[in-house]
Amino acid sequence: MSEALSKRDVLPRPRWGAATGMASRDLVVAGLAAALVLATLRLAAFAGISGPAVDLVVSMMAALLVFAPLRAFDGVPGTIREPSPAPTADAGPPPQQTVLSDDLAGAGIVPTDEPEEPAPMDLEMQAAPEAPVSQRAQDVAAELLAYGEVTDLLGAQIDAAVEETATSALTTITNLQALDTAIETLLRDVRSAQEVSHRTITRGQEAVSANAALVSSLRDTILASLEDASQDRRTYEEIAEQANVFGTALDSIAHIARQTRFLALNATIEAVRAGGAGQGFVVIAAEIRNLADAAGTTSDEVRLGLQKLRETTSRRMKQKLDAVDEISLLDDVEAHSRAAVAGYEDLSRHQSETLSMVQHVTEEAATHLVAVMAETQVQDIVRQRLGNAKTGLQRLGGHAAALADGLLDDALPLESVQASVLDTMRANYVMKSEHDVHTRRGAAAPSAQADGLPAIELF
Amino acid sequence: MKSVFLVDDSPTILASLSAILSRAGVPVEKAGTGEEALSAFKAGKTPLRMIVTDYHMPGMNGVELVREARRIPALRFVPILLLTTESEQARRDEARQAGATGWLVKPVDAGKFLSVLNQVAPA
Repeated sequence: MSEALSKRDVLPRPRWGAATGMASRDLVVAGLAAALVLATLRLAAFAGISGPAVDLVVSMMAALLVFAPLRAFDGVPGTIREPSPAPTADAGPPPQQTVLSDDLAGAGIVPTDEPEEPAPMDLEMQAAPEAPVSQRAQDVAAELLAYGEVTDLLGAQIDAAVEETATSALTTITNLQALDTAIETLLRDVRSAQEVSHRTITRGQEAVSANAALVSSLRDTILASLEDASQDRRTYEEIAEQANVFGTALDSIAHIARQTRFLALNATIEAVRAGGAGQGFVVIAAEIRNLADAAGTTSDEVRLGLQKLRETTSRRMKQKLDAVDEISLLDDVEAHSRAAVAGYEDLSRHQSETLSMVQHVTEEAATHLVAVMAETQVQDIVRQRLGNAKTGLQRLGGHAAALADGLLDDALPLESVQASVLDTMRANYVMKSEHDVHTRRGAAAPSAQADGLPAIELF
Repeated sequence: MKSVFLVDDSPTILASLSAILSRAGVPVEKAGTGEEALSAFKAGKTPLRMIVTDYHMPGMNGVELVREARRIPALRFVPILLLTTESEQARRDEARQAGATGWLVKPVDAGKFLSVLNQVAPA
Protein backbone atom coordinates (compact mmCIF):
# COMPACT_ATOMS: atom_id res chain seq x y z
CA MET A 1 0.00 0.00 0.00
CA SER A 2 2.22 2.71 -1.26
CA GLU A 3 -0.20 5.39 -2.37
CA ALA A 4 -1.84 7.78 0.03
CA LEU A 5 -5.17 6.58 1.25
CA SER A 6 -8.09 8.50 2.59
CA LYS A 7 -9.47 7.70 5.99
CA ARG A 8 -12.50 6.03 4.52
CA ASP A 9 -10.24 3.69 2.59
CA VAL A 10 -8.72 2.29 5.70
CA LEU A 11 -11.23 2.71 8.48
CA PRO A 12 -14.72 1.25 8.81
CA ARG A 13 -16.95 4.16 9.49
CA PRO A 14 -20.52 3.91 10.82
CA ARG A 15 -23.29 5.90 9.36
CA TRP A 16 -23.95 9.02 11.34
CA GLY A 17 -27.23 8.82 13.16
CA ALA A 18 -26.90 5.14 13.73
CA ALA A 19 -27.17 3.80 17.21
CA THR A 20 -23.42 3.22 17.40
CA GLY A 21 -22.33 6.74 16.57
CA MET A 22 -19.96 7.71 19.39
CA ALA A 23 -19.00 4.18 20.27
CA SER A 24 -17.78 3.54 16.74
CA ARG A 25 -15.65 6.67 16.82
CA ASP A 26 -14.06 5.31 19.96
CA LEU A 27 -13.42 2.11 18.08
CA VAL A 28 -11.73 4.10 15.37
CA VAL A 29 -9.53 5.77 17.95
CA ALA A 30 -8.60 2.49 19.50
CA GLY A 31 -7.91 1.03 16.08
CA LEU A 32 -5.63 3.93 15.20
CA ALA A 33 -3.74 3.57 18.43
CA ALA A 34 -3.37 -0.15 17.94
CA ALA A 35 -2.15 0.43 14.42
CA LEU A 36 0.47 2.80 15.77
CA VAL A 37 1.60 0.23 18.29
CA LEU A 38 2.10 -2.26 15.51
CA ALA A 39 3.78 0.34 13.34
CA THR A 40 6.21 1.18 16.11
CA LEU A 41 7.13 -2.41 16.59
CA ARG A 42 7.51 -2.90 12.85
CA LEU A 43 9.65 0.20 12.63
CA ALA A 44 12.04 -1.15 15.21
CA ALA A 45 12.19 -4.37 13.29
CA PHE A 46 12.77 -2.60 9.97
CA ALA A 47 15.53 -0.47 11.41
CA GLY A 48 17.38 -3.63 12.17
CA ILE A 49 18.62 -2.21 15.42
CA SER A 50 18.85 -4.13 18.61
CA GLY A 51 20.37 -3.98 22.02
CA PRO A 52 19.06 -3.35 25.53
CA ALA A 53 18.90 0.43 25.13
CA VAL A 54 17.06 0.26 21.83
CA ASP A 55 14.72 -2.43 23.15
CA LEU A 56 13.95 -0.24 26.14
CA VAL A 57 13.24 2.78 24.01
CA VAL A 58 11.03 0.81 21.63
CA SER A 59 9.20 -0.79 24.56
CA MET A 60 8.62 2.63 26.13
CA MET A 61 7.15 3.93 22.94
CA ALA A 62 5.00 0.86 22.41
CA ALA A 63 3.73 1.10 25.98
CA LEU A 64 2.90 4.75 25.47
CA LEU A 65 1.05 3.90 22.30
CA VAL A 66 -0.93 1.24 24.11
CA PHE A 67 -1.59 3.46 27.08
CA ALA A 68 -2.91 6.37 25.09
CA PRO A 69 -6.08 4.76 23.77
CA LEU A 70 -6.68 2.98 27.05
CA ARG A 71 -7.06 6.32 28.73
CA ALA A 72 -10.37 6.50 26.96
CA PHE A 73 -11.57 3.43 28.88
CA ASP A 74 -11.55 4.72 32.46
CA GLY A 75 -8.40 2.72 33.11
CA VAL A 76 -10.38 -0.55 33.37
CA PRO A 77 -9.40 -3.03 30.71
CA GLY A 78 -12.36 -4.12 28.72
CA THR A 79 -14.61 -1.35 30.03
CA ILE A 80 -15.30 1.58 27.84
CA ARG A 81 -15.68 4.92 29.51
CA GLU A 82 -18.93 6.73 29.10
CA PRO A 83 -18.44 9.18 26.32
CA SER A 84 -18.93 12.82 26.90
CA PRO A 85 -22.40 13.98 26.19
CA ALA A 86 -22.85 15.23 22.71
CA PRO A 87 -22.95 18.98 22.50
CA THR A 88 -25.80 18.90 20.09
CA ALA A 89 -29.22 17.44 20.37
CA ASP A 90 -28.85 15.28 17.26
CA ALA A 91 -25.87 13.50 18.50
CA GLY A 92 -27.80 10.25 18.47
CA PRO A 93 -28.70 7.76 21.11
CA PRO A 94 -26.60 7.24 24.24
CA PRO A 95 -23.27 5.69 23.47
CA GLN A 96 -22.90 2.00 23.89
CA GLN A 97 -20.05 -0.18 24.79
CA THR A 98 -18.15 -1.57 21.87
CA VAL A 99 -15.49 -4.10 21.14
CA LEU A 100 -11.80 -3.38 20.94
CA SER A 101 -9.77 -4.16 17.90
CA ASP A 102 -8.34 -7.62 17.46
CA ASP A 103 -4.85 -6.36 18.25
CA LEU A 104 -5.90 -4.96 21.61
CA ALA A 105 -7.94 -8.04 22.34
CA GLY A 106 -4.86 -10.05 21.56
CA ALA A 107 -3.03 -7.97 24.12
CA GLY A 108 -5.39 -9.23 26.83
CA ILE A 109 -7.92 -6.41 26.70
CA VAL A 110 -11.33 -7.99 26.47
CA PRO A 111 -14.68 -6.20 26.56
CA THR A 112 -16.92 -7.05 29.47
CA ASP A 113 -20.11 -7.02 27.47
CA GLU A 114 -21.10 -8.65 24.27
CA PRO A 115 -20.33 -6.38 21.38
CA GLU A 116 -23.00 -5.14 19.18
CA GLU A 117 -23.04 -6.00 15.55
CA PRO A 118 -20.68 -3.70 13.75
CA ALA A 119 -22.21 -1.16 11.48
CA PRO A 120 -22.04 -2.00 7.82
CA MET A 121 -19.02 -0.64 6.05
CA ASP A 122 -19.61 2.42 3.99
CA LEU A 123 -16.71 3.03 1.68
CA GLU A 124 -18.38 5.99 0.05
CA MET A 125 -18.03 9.35 1.66
CA GLN A 126 -21.42 10.23 3.13
CA ALA A 127 -22.78 13.69 2.77
CA ALA A 128 -23.87 13.60 6.34
CA PRO A 129 -23.36 16.62 8.49
CA GLU A 130 -19.97 16.80 10.28
CA ALA A 131 -20.26 15.22 13.68
CA PRO A 132 -18.90 16.99 16.70
CA VAL A 133 -15.60 15.69 17.98
CA SER A 134 -15.90 13.78 21.19
CA GLN A 135 -13.79 14.55 24.24
CA ARG A 136 -12.27 11.12 23.92
CA ALA A 137 -11.22 11.76 20.35
CA GLN A 138 -9.70 15.05 21.41
CA ASP A 139 -7.82 13.31 24.23
CA VAL A 140 -6.51 10.64 21.89
CA ALA A 141 -5.54 13.25 19.34
CA ALA A 142 -3.60 15.11 22.01
CA GLU A 143 -1.84 11.92 22.95
CA LEU A 144 -1.03 11.23 19.32
CA LEU A 145 0.40 14.70 18.99
CA ALA A 146 2.59 13.99 22.01
CA TYR A 147 4.30 11.23 20.05
CA GLY A 148 6.39 13.91 18.43
CA GLU A 149 7.96 14.63 21.78
CA VAL A 150 8.58 10.95 22.28
CA THR A 151 10.23 10.55 18.92
CA ASP A 152 12.31 13.65 19.59
CA LEU A 153 13.38 12.11 22.87
CA LEU A 154 14.22 8.86 21.13
CA GLY A 155 16.16 10.81 18.54
CA ALA A 156 18.11 12.55 21.28
CA GLN A 157 18.80 9.19 22.90
CA ILE A 158 20.05 7.85 19.60
CA ASP A 159 22.26 10.90 19.09
CA ALA A 160 23.71 10.49 22.56
CA ALA A 161 24.31 6.79 21.99
CA VAL A 162 26.01 7.50 18.66
CA GLU A 163 28.16 10.14 20.31
CA GLU A 164 29.15 7.68 23.02
CA THR A 165 30.05 5.01 20.48
CA ALA A 166 32.10 7.55 18.54
CA THR A 167 33.95 8.59 21.67
CA SER A 168 34.47 4.97 22.58
CA ALA A 169 35.72 4.12 19.09
CA LEU A 170 38.19 7.00 19.11
CA THR A 171 39.41 6.03 22.56
CA THR A 172 39.78 2.47 21.36
CA ILE A 173 41.81 3.61 18.37
CA THR A 174 43.99 5.79 20.59
CA ASN A 175 44.60 2.90 22.96
CA LEU A 176 45.29 0.55 20.07
CA GLN A 177 47.81 3.00 18.68
CA ALA A 178 49.52 3.20 22.07
CA LEU A 179 49.55 -0.59 22.21
CA ASP A 180 50.85 -0.68 18.66
CA THR A 181 53.64 1.72 19.59
CA ALA A 182 54.55 -0.49 22.54
CA ILE A 183 54.59 -3.54 20.29
CA GLU A 184 56.73 -1.70 17.76
CA THR A 185 59.17 -0.80 20.52
CA LEU A 186 59.19 -4.38 21.72
CA LEU A 187 59.81 -5.63 18.19
CA ARG A 188 62.62 -3.15 17.72
CA ASP A 189 64.20 -4.25 21.01
CA VAL A 190 63.81 -7.89 20.04
CA ARG A 191 65.46 -7.32 16.67
CA SER A 192 68.24 -5.38 18.37
CA ALA A 193 68.73 -8.17 20.92
CA GLN A 194 68.86 -10.71 18.10
CA GLU A 195 71.51 -8.69 16.32
CA VAL A 196 73.55 -8.37 19.52
CA SER A 197 73.19 -12.07 20.17
CA HIS A 198 74.22 -12.89 16.62
CA ARG A 199 77.23 -10.60 16.82
CA THR A 200 78.24 -12.08 20.17
CA ILE A 201 78.04 -15.61 18.82
CA THR A 202 80.06 -14.63 15.79
CA ARG A 203 82.70 -12.96 17.93
CA GLY A 204 82.81 -15.97 20.25
CA GLN A 205 83.24 -18.33 17.32
CA GLU A 206 85.99 -16.15 15.93
CA ALA A 207 87.69 -16.08 19.33
CA VAL A 208 87.44 -19.85 19.62
CA SER A 209 88.88 -20.28 16.15
CA ALA A 210 91.76 -17.94 16.98
CA ASN A 211 92.30 -19.74 20.24
CA ALA A 212 92.32 -23.10 18.51
CA ALA A 213 94.86 -21.82 16.02
CA LEU A 214 97.03 -20.53 18.84
CA VAL A 215 96.78 -23.80 20.72
CA SER A 216 97.59 -25.68 17.57
CA SER A 217 100.61 -23.47 17.01
CA LEU A 218 101.75 -23.94 20.59
CA ARG A 219 101.29 -27.68 20.28
CA ASP A 220 103.39 -27.70 17.13
CA THR A 221 106.04 -25.65 18.87
CA ILE A 222 106.03 -27.95 21.87
CA LEU A 223 106.07 -31.03 19.71
CA ALA A 224 109.03 -29.60 17.83
CA SER A 225 110.67 -28.86 21.13
CA LEU A 226 110.04 -32.42 22.22
CA GLU A 227 111.57 -33.66 19.02
CA ASP A 228 114.57 -31.46 19.68
CA ALA A 229 114.69 -32.72 23.23
CA SER A 230 114.66 -36.26 22.00
CA GLN A 231 117.48 -35.46 19.63
CA ASP A 232 119.34 -33.63 22.38
CA ARG A 233 118.82 -36.59 24.68
CA ARG A 234 120.50 -38.88 22.30
CA THR A 235 123.32 -36.36 21.95
CA TYR A 236 123.58 -35.97 25.69
CA GLU A 237 123.59 -39.70 26.14
CA GLU A 238 126.43 -39.96 23.62
CA ILE A 239 128.24 -37.15 25.42
CA ALA A 240 127.69 -38.89 28.73
CA GLU A 241 128.94 -42.11 27.29
CA GLN A 242 131.99 -40.38 25.89
CA ALA A 243 132.45 -38.65 29.23
CA ASN A 244 132.31 -41.97 30.99
CA VAL A 245 134.94 -43.31 28.62
CA PHE A 246 136.92 -40.21 29.20
CA GLY A 247 136.48 -40.67 32.95
CA THR A 248 137.84 -44.19 32.71
CA ALA A 249 140.82 -42.81 30.82
CA LEU A 250 141.24 -40.24 33.53
CA ASP A 251 141.23 -42.95 36.13
CA SER A 252 144.00 -44.69 34.21
CA ILE A 253 145.87 -41.42 33.97
CA ALA A 254 145.46 -40.88 37.71
CA HIS A 255 146.67 -44.41 38.38
CA ILE A 256 149.65 -43.88 36.13
CA ALA A 257 150.35 -40.60 37.86
CA ARG A 258 150.31 -42.29 41.24
CA GLN A 259 152.53 -45.10 40.00
CA THR A 260 154.80 -42.54 38.45
CA ARG A 261 154.96 -40.64 41.73
CA PHE A 262 155.93 -43.84 43.56
CA LEU A 263 158.40 -44.62 40.87
CA ALA A 264 159.86 -41.12 41.12
CA LEU A 265 160.05 -41.48 44.86
CA ASN A 266 161.87 -44.78 44.59
CA ALA A 267 164.18 -43.32 41.98
CA THR A 268 164.97 -40.44 44.27
CA ILE A 269 165.80 -42.85 47.08
CA GLU A 270 168.01 -44.92 44.85
CA ALA A 271 169.70 -41.77 43.48
CA VAL A 272 170.41 -40.53 46.96
CA ARG A 273 171.75 -43.94 47.84
CA ALA A 274 174.04 -43.76 44.80
CA GLY A 275 175.61 -40.65 46.12
CA GLY A 276 177.18 -38.12 43.85
CA ALA A 277 176.62 -40.20 40.79
CA GLY A 278 172.92 -40.09 41.35
CA GLN A 279 172.58 -36.36 42.01
CA GLY A 280 171.40 -35.59 38.52
CA PHE A 281 169.00 -38.43 38.62
CA VAL A 282 167.55 -37.03 41.86
CA VAL A 283 166.61 -33.88 40.00
CA ILE A 284 165.01 -35.85 37.21
CA ALA A 285 163.11 -37.97 39.67
CA ALA A 286 161.82 -34.82 41.39
CA GLU A 287 160.59 -33.45 38.09
CA ILE A 288 158.91 -36.74 37.26
CA ARG A 289 157.16 -36.63 40.63
CA ASN A 290 156.03 -33.08 39.96
CA LEU A 291 154.65 -34.15 36.59
CA ALA A 292 152.80 -37.04 38.21
CA ASP A 293 151.29 -34.73 40.76
CA ALA A 294 150.25 -32.30 38.03
CA ALA A 295 148.74 -35.14 36.02
CA GLY A 296 146.76 -36.26 39.06
CA THR A 297 145.49 -32.76 39.79
CA THR A 298 144.51 -32.20 36.17
CA SER A 299 142.78 -35.55 36.09
CA ASP A 300 140.72 -34.60 39.14
CA GLU A 301 139.79 -31.27 37.59
CA VAL A 302 138.68 -32.93 34.34
CA ARG A 303 136.62 -35.48 36.33
CA LEU A 304 134.93 -32.65 38.19
CA GLY A 305 134.15 -30.90 34.85
CA LEU A 306 132.65 -34.09 33.47
CA GLN A 307 130.46 -34.44 36.55
CA LYS A 308 129.12 -30.89 36.05
CA LEU A 309 128.51 -31.64 32.39
CA ARG A 310 126.43 -34.69 33.34
CA GLU A 311 124.37 -32.70 35.82
CA THR A 312 123.71 -29.86 33.34
CA THR A 313 122.73 -32.28 30.61
CA SER A 314 120.40 -34.13 32.90
CA ARG A 315 118.74 -30.91 34.02
CA ARG A 316 118.27 -29.73 30.44
CA MET A 317 116.77 -33.04 29.50
CA LYS A 318 114.31 -32.85 32.35
CA GLN A 319 113.25 -29.33 31.35
CA LYS A 320 112.64 -30.40 27.78
CA LEU A 321 110.67 -33.41 28.83
CA ASP A 322 108.40 -31.22 31.03
CA ALA A 323 106.95 -29.82 27.75
CA VAL A 324 104.88 -32.99 27.53
CA ASP A 325 102.90 -31.76 30.52
CA GLU A 326 102.45 -28.39 28.83
CA ILE A 327 100.85 -30.09 25.83
CA SER A 328 98.45 -31.85 28.10
CA LEU A 329 97.62 -28.54 29.74
CA LEU A 330 97.05 -26.93 26.35
CA ASP A 331 94.69 -29.71 25.37
CA ASP A 332 92.73 -29.12 28.53
CA VAL A 333 92.58 -25.38 27.85
CA GLU A 334 91.40 -25.96 24.31
CA ALA A 335 88.77 -28.45 25.41
CA HIS A 336 87.45 -26.13 28.10
CA SER A 337 87.38 -23.24 25.63
CA ARG A 338 85.42 -25.25 23.09
CA ALA A 339 83.03 -26.46 25.77
CA ALA A 340 82.46 -22.92 27.02
CA VAL A 341 81.75 -21.61 23.53
CA ALA A 342 79.50 -24.57 22.75
CA GLY A 343 77.52 -23.81 25.89
CA TYR A 344 77.29 -20.17 24.95
CA GLU A 345 76.16 -21.12 21.46
CA ASP A 346 73.42 -23.27 22.95
CA LEU A 347 72.40 -20.43 25.22
CA SER A 348 72.46 -17.97 22.36
CA ARG A 349 70.51 -20.35 20.12
CA HIS A 350 67.86 -20.76 22.79
CA GLN A 351 67.79 -17.00 23.27
CA SER A 352 67.50 -16.49 19.53
CA GLU A 353 64.64 -18.99 19.31
CA THR A 354 62.87 -17.23 22.17
CA LEU A 355 63.36 -13.86 20.55
CA SER A 356 62.09 -15.23 17.24
CA MET A 357 59.01 -16.56 18.98
CA VAL A 358 58.47 -13.20 20.71
CA GLN A 359 58.89 -11.47 17.36
CA HIS A 360 56.41 -13.81 15.69
CA VAL A 361 53.85 -13.35 18.45
CA THR A 362 54.20 -9.58 18.55
CA GLU A 363 53.95 -9.34 14.76
CA GLU A 364 50.82 -11.45 14.87
CA ALA A 365 49.44 -9.28 17.67
CA ALA A 366 50.21 -6.20 15.59
CA THR A 367 48.29 -7.70 12.67
CA HIS A 368 45.25 -8.29 14.88
CA LEU A 369 45.67 -4.79 16.25
CA VAL A 370 45.43 -3.28 12.80
CA ALA A 371 42.42 -5.47 12.07
CA VAL A 372 40.71 -4.15 15.18
CA MET A 373 41.56 -0.60 14.11
CA ALA A 374 39.84 -1.31 10.82
CA GLU A 375 36.84 -2.79 12.60
CA THR A 376 36.17 0.53 14.32
CA GLN A 377 34.81 1.68 10.97
CA VAL A 378 31.70 -0.23 11.95
CA GLN A 379 30.91 2.62 14.33
CA ASP A 380 30.35 4.86 11.32
CA ILE A 381 28.07 2.28 9.77
CA VAL A 382 26.10 2.01 13.00
CA ARG A 383 25.96 5.79 13.17
CA GLN A 384 24.40 5.96 9.73
CA ARG A 385 21.96 3.15 10.43
CA LEU A 386 20.88 4.69 13.71
CA GLY A 387 20.57 8.00 11.89
CA ASN A 388 18.19 6.36 9.45
CA ALA A 389 16.30 4.77 12.35
CA LYS A 390 16.05 8.19 13.96
CA THR A 391 14.65 9.63 10.76
CA GLY A 392 12.14 6.78 10.69
CA LEU A 393 11.08 7.60 14.23
CA GLN A 394 10.62 11.23 13.32
CA ARG A 395 8.49 10.20 10.37
CA LEU A 396 6.48 7.98 12.68
CA GLY A 397 5.93 10.96 14.99
CA GLY A 398 4.81 12.98 12.00
CA HIS A 399 2.52 10.17 10.99
CA ALA A 400 1.01 10.14 14.50
CA ALA A 401 0.44 13.88 14.25
CA ALA A 402 -1.24 13.40 10.91
CA LEU A 403 -3.47 10.75 12.44
CA ALA A 404 -4.35 13.15 15.24
CA ASP A 405 -5.27 15.78 12.70
CA GLY A 406 -7.27 13.24 10.77
CA LEU A 407 -9.03 12.20 13.92
CA LEU A 408 -10.22 15.72 14.52
CA ASP A 409 -10.94 16.59 10.93
CA ASP A 410 -12.70 14.12 8.68
CA ALA A 411 -11.81 16.17 5.66
CA LEU A 412 -8.11 15.41 6.00
CA PRO A 413 -6.85 12.43 4.05
CA LEU A 414 -5.20 9.63 5.92
CA GLU A 415 -1.93 8.18 4.75
CA SER A 416 -0.89 4.71 5.70
CA VAL A 417 2.18 4.07 7.84
CA GLN A 418 3.46 2.00 4.96
CA ALA A 419 3.41 4.95 2.60
CA SER A 420 4.37 7.71 5.00
CA VAL A 421 7.06 5.90 6.96
CA LEU A 422 8.15 2.49 5.76
CA ASP A 423 8.32 3.12 2.02
CA THR A 424 10.18 6.39 2.58
CA MET A 425 12.60 4.69 4.91
CA ARG A 426 13.30 2.02 2.34
CA ALA A 427 13.79 4.59 -0.37
CA ASN A 428 16.45 6.31 1.73
CA TYR A 429 18.49 3.22 2.54
CA VAL A 430 22.02 3.31 1.21
CA MET A 431 23.31 0.05 2.61
CA LYS A 432 22.45 -3.32 1.20
CA SER A 433 22.21 -4.70 4.73
CA GLU A 434 19.46 -2.16 5.49
CA HIS A 435 17.48 -3.33 2.49
CA ASP A 436 18.07 -6.92 3.48
CA VAL A 437 16.76 -6.38 7.02
CA HIS A 438 13.77 -4.46 5.71
CA THR A 439 12.96 -7.19 3.22
CA ARG A 440 13.46 -9.99 5.70
CA ARG A 441 11.43 -8.40 8.50
CA GLY A 442 8.78 -6.78 6.41
CA ALA A 443 8.42 -9.32 3.63
CA ALA A 444 8.69 -6.40 1.27
CA ALA A 445 9.67 -6.59 -2.33
CA PRO A 446 13.34 -7.31 -2.96
CA SER A 447 15.52 -4.25 -2.82
CA ALA A 448 16.80 -2.42 -5.82
CA GLN A 449 20.31 -2.98 -4.59
CA ALA A 450 22.27 -5.26 -6.80
CA ASP A 451 23.54 -8.39 -5.15
CA GLY A 452 27.07 -9.58 -5.61
CA LEU A 453 28.67 -6.17 -6.10
CA PRO A 454 32.27 -6.33 -4.95
CA ALA A 455 33.19 -4.47 -1.79
CA ILE A 456 36.24 -3.17 -3.63
CA GLU A 457 35.93 -2.12 -7.25
CA LEU A 458 38.65 -0.35 -9.18
CA PHE A 459 37.35 1.43 -12.26
CA MET B 1 57.08 11.50 0.74
CA LYS B 2 53.63 11.88 -0.76
CA SER B 3 50.59 11.81 1.52
CA VAL B 4 47.26 10.07 1.41
CA PHE B 5 44.41 12.55 1.91
CA LEU B 6 41.39 11.26 3.84
CA VAL B 7 38.03 13.03 3.67
CA ASP B 8 35.20 11.90 5.94
CA ASP B 9 32.78 13.54 8.34
CA SER B 10 33.21 10.61 10.69
CA PRO B 11 36.10 11.12 13.14
CA THR B 12 36.10 7.36 13.67
CA ILE B 13 36.78 6.65 10.02
CA LEU B 14 39.48 9.30 9.88
CA ALA B 15 41.14 7.93 13.01
CA SER B 16 40.85 4.31 11.89
CA LEU B 17 42.28 4.82 8.41
CA SER B 18 44.94 7.23 9.70
CA ALA B 19 46.10 4.61 12.16
CA ILE B 20 46.30 1.96 9.46
CA LEU B 21 48.20 4.21 7.05
CA SER B 22 50.52 5.67 9.68
CA ARG B 23 51.43 2.19 10.82
CA ALA B 24 52.38 1.40 7.24
CA GLY B 25 54.58 4.50 7.22
CA VAL B 26 52.32 6.48 4.92
CA PRO B 27 51.91 10.21 5.73
CA VAL B 28 48.28 11.21 6.15
CA GLU B 29 46.30 14.41 5.78
CA LYS B 30 42.67 14.70 6.82
CA ALA B 31 39.57 16.81 6.31
CA GLY B 32 36.09 16.52 7.81
CA THR B 33 34.20 18.03 4.86
CA GLY B 34 34.47 18.21 1.10
CA GLU B 35 34.86 21.97 1.22
CA GLU B 36 37.74 21.76 3.69
CA ALA B 37 39.43 19.15 1.53
CA LEU B 38 38.98 21.19 -1.62
CA SER B 39 40.60 24.21 0.03
CA ALA B 40 43.56 22.06 0.99
CA PHE B 41 43.74 20.65 -2.55
CA LYS B 42 43.83 24.13 -4.02
CA ALA B 43 46.48 25.23 -1.53
CA GLY B 44 48.49 22.25 -2.76
CA LYS B 45 51.03 22.35 0.03
CA THR B 46 51.75 18.64 -0.03
CA PRO B 47 52.04 16.33 -3.02
CA LEU B 48 49.37 13.67 -2.78
CA ARG B 49 49.70 10.00 -3.46
CA MET B 50 46.01 9.17 -3.20
CA ILE B 51 42.71 10.66 -2.04
CA VAL B 52 40.09 8.66 -0.15
CA THR B 53 36.73 10.32 0.35
CA ASP B 54 33.40 9.43 1.88
CA TYR B 55 30.29 9.73 -0.26
CA HIS B 56 27.78 11.17 2.20
CA MET B 57 29.05 14.28 3.92
CA PRO B 58 27.43 17.49 5.05
CA GLY B 59 27.67 19.97 2.18
CA MET B 60 29.72 18.77 -0.73
CA ASN B 61 29.44 15.02 -1.21
CA GLY B 62 32.20 12.70 -2.28
CA VAL B 63 31.38 12.60 -5.99
CA GLU B 64 31.18 16.39 -6.16
CA LEU B 65 34.57 16.54 -4.48
CA VAL B 66 35.98 14.13 -7.07
CA ARG B 67 34.59 16.32 -9.82
CA GLU B 68 36.13 19.46 -8.31
CA ALA B 69 39.44 17.76 -7.59
CA ARG B 70 39.79 16.64 -11.19
CA ARG B 71 39.67 20.27 -12.25
CA ILE B 72 42.89 20.91 -10.31
CA PRO B 73 45.80 20.13 -12.67
CA ALA B 74 47.99 18.68 -9.92
CA LEU B 75 45.26 16.18 -9.02
CA ARG B 76 44.26 15.17 -12.52
CA PHE B 77 46.03 11.84 -12.28
CA VAL B 78 45.99 11.31 -8.52
CA PRO B 79 43.93 8.20 -7.68
CA ILE B 80 40.70 9.04 -5.86
CA LEU B 81 38.73 6.33 -4.08
CA LEU B 82 35.19 6.56 -2.73
CA LEU B 83 34.95 4.87 0.67
CA THR B 84 31.31 4.62 1.65
CA THR B 85 28.50 2.52 3.00
CA GLU B 86 26.73 2.91 -0.33
CA SER B 87 26.69 -0.17 -2.48
CA GLU B 88 24.36 0.72 -5.33
CA GLN B 89 25.62 0.32 -8.85
CA ALA B 90 24.14 3.65 -9.91
CA ARG B 91 26.22 5.53 -7.36
CA ARG B 92 29.31 3.67 -8.51
CA ASP B 93 28.63 4.65 -12.08
CA GLU B 94 28.17 8.24 -10.96
CA ALA B 95 31.52 8.15 -9.18
CA ARG B 96 33.25 6.58 -12.16
CA GLN B 97 31.89 9.23 -14.49
CA ALA B 98 33.04 11.94 -12.09
CA GLY B 99 36.59 10.64 -12.36
CA ALA B 100 36.92 8.39 -9.34
CA THR B 101 39.48 5.60 -9.47
CA GLY B 102 37.64 3.06 -7.36
CA TRP B 103 34.90 2.26 -4.91
CA LEU B 104 35.38 0.77 -1.46
CA VAL B 105 32.53 -0.32 0.78
CA LYS B 106 32.91 0.27 4.51
CA PRO B 107 34.23 -1.37 6.56
CA VAL B 108 37.34 -2.03 4.50
CA ASP B 109 39.89 -4.57 5.64
CA ALA B 110 43.22 -3.01 6.58
CA GLY B 111 45.27 -5.33 4.44
CA LYS B 112 43.04 -4.89 1.42
CA PHE B 113 43.04 -1.14 1.89
CA LEU B 114 46.85 -1.02 1.85
CA SER B 115 46.87 -3.44 -1.07
CA VAL B 116 44.61 -1.13 -3.07
CA LEU B 117 46.83 1.82 -2.15
CA ASN B 118 49.92 0.03 -3.43
CA GLN B 119 48.06 -1.08 -6.52
CA VAL B 120 46.67 2.26 -7.64
CA ALA B 121 49.39 4.47 -6.17
CA PRO B 122 52.67 2.61 -5.75
CA ALA B 123 55.12 4.33 -3.43
